[in-house]
Amino acid sequence: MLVLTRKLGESIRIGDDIKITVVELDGRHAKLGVEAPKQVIVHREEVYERIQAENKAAALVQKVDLHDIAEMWKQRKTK
Amino acid sequence: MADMFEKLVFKQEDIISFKDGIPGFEKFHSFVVVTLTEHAPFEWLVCTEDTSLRFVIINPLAIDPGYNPDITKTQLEGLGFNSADDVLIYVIVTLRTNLLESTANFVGPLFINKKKMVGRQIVVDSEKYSVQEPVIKNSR
Repeated sequence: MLVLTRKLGESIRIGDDIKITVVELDGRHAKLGVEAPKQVIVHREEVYERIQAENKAAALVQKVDLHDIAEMWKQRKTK
Repeated sequence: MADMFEKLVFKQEDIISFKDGIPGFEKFHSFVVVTLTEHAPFEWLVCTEDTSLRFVIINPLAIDPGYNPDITKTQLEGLGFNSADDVLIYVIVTLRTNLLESTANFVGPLFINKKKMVGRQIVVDSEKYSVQEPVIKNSR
């Protein structure tokens, strides 16, 4: 991994069109500003990982019948 | 017992293309929504490339009528929405052994353009919702 030291207000550039700036520093927290083309989607790594993990857990359903949970849903609705 | 989707019949025009795949399953790009009235409001999202890959999905508004994730235009880029009528939103349900504990992923809604038949799982970067929102809340 390439490691670069940046001060507050300094930036790094990735390719021609992505720029990441250190906007704020507070103890162990760094606030980063990201300038990127519209088609580049940016999000925090752990959020993406959580979704990946949840998708994998959800995909474990194989031969299940949705009948039982649909029944529970109906009962919930009539409460 | 034969698998219910082993011989799934679908039309070419029913295929929804997920260009980026679904996080965790990036290799798969073609899915169909399978709706069985007796299972409402739950539906299936079945991968046509491998029907053993399938997700239980639900319209999040059925669980939380106020569901309103913060999504930027950028995130919907490429889905080509022209009108709100084209938008289908689902969330993926994780069924638990105790079905009452089943949850829905409110952080990763699926946005589908039903006119263009393209879809994407959006990553909602906010603390407002959980990847494990209870589905059958009132039964607890």
